Amino acid sequence: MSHRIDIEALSELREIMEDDFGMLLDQYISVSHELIDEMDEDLQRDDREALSRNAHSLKGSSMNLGAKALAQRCGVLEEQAKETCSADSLEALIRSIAEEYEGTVVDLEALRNPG
Amino acid sequence: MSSSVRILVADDNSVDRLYLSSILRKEGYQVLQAVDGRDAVEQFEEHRPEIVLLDVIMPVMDGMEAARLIKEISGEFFVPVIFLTSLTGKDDLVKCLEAGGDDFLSKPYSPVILRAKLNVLQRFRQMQVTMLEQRDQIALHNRDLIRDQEAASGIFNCVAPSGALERDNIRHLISPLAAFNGDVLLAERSLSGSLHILLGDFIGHGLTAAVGTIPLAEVFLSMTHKGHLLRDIVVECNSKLNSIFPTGYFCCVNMIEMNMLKGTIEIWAGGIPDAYITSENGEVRRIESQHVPLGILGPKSFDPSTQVFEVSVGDRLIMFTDGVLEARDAEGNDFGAARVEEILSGDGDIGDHFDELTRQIHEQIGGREGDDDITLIEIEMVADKEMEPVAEYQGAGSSEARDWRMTYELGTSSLKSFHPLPLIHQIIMEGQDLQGHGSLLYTVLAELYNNALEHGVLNMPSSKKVGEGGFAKYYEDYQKALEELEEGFVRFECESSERDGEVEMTIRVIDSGAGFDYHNVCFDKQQANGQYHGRGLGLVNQLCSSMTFKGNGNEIEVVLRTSIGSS
Repeated sequence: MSHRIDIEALSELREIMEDDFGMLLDQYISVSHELIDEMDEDLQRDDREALSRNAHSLKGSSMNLGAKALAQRCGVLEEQAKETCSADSLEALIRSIAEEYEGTVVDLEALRNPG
Repeated sequence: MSSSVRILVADDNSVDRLYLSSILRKEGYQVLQAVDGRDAVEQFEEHRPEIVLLDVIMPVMDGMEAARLIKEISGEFFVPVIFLTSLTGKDDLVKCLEAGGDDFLSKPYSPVILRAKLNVLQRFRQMQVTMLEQRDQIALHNRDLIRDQEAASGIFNCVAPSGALERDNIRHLISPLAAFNGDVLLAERSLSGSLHILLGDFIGHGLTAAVGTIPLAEVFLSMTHKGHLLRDIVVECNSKLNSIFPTGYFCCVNMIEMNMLKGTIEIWAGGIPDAYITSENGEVRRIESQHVPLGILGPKSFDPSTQVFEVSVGDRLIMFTDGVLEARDAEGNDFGAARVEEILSGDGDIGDHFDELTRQIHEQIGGREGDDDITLIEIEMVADKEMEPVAEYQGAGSSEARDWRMTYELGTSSLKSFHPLPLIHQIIMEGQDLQGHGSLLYTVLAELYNNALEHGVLNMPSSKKVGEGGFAKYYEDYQKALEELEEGFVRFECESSERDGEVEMTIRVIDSGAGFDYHNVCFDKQQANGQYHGRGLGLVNQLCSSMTFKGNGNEIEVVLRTSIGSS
């Protein structure tokens, strides 16, 4: 059991993707990592718009993968980035997303093979 | 699902793109991928996919802008755009639809819902493709139809130059439903000097109706040019339509001869709304149709009898097709005959009635296209001298027969049923260089013949013409006398000779009548002062080189001289 992952959604995805499921997981793991790196850079440049967009993007794919906890944190960042939040609090949000990402990857790896 | 349908998926996140593409490929679609809005627009332009799925928030160009551009590019073709969104706010979703989105799909994607949405859009798309095909087909057919109509209209214009209606004493309104419809309106001056008018309304609309106008106009005009009587023209028009068209195809007509010299209107009306003659004193005469339309009856049962009305200068003949009576207003009420009569009998100058009538008709139908063609004409009776000269219609080249003689005698039954003038006129014209004198010759022949028949054979006193009832009464008596004629003849003796560069034409007309004492008759050339009675032979005298009575007055000889190549 995982509090991070919607198991049901993920098994549905596995069914739909059939042989491509593994590839989809790999893609998600690497793309999400890139997105989090980009968020860091966005914040350093103080490009709030890009930050919000990248958070939105990660939110969308996370929803599709059933990574609901990560999707939720991304959603918060997406909104906060548009507000006049301090860089520090955004920085903290990105860190929490990175942490959540690590946990999600572990859980996804555990669920990669059915059984 | 049709494998040929292409879907463009635009999402900046490759994970979502991969996911969606997999679902769509499994559904049998061909998938194109774009990484942002601009990429999506470019790929759309290049590949023209049938359906577009767009992420809303993308770098470079967002989904809404891309949707707007794609809709612009696709023009009249319906390209469904579905927005992919993890947005949840109502405002955001509304914005998607306003940007041209046809639907949206929320993350996380549900393959079941996606499939259902695509099916709906596919049905829409298919429907639109069918609609556009049908529209194009209709446009194509319509183009063909218009081209056919223009071709037919061109032929008709060759047969009947539209300028014929452009006369000072004629006003008309033609509002066709199509370029070339089933209504026909012609006016042409006869070789006899009368004005012939044809108002016809073929059954049906469009080309089917219009095709009959060509032979009808051809017969009407060529016989008018040759000086045939109205009744003979009516007979020929009827048998032409009867012989060439199928059963159930007919033409409602008013055929008119307006004789400016006699001051008469002769009319043959078949199946057409009543015509009217209005006078300046406020009198309105209604002329009812007395026959079935042209083209229905065979020659044996066809009745060519006409009605004759006496008219004065300034009187007006108004006639129209049933489109006028059936012109409907927005509530569906017909214009109706009562309203026409109300206008025609209204106060004020009768010259304003036509304008009032057309104004009210236009008001009645408003901006709408009428259900039927509307054709309306008003002809004012004018003095003969106000008419332009009769146009001369030459046959195709003439032989040079200048020395010949002929005798042509009409016996009793020929006198009753045959009008010989066009025939004799044509024979004489054949050999003579009478260009420009054709109508003069016709006038001479007509006066000589009428004189021989009416005053000679039928022994009608010319004083009767001005008696009670005038011409209408005279015409009636004439018909009766002709019908009751037991024995009689009129003989034409024509002789043509060539001498000193001149053609001398001697025409003798001899009748079976008792003749009269011509010794005391003075034919003063100045006598023909516009009065018809007493003018007949006086006019002949004016036109010819010489005119002499012979025998006991039942024989007249005239000589016409024309120089060869004089015109």
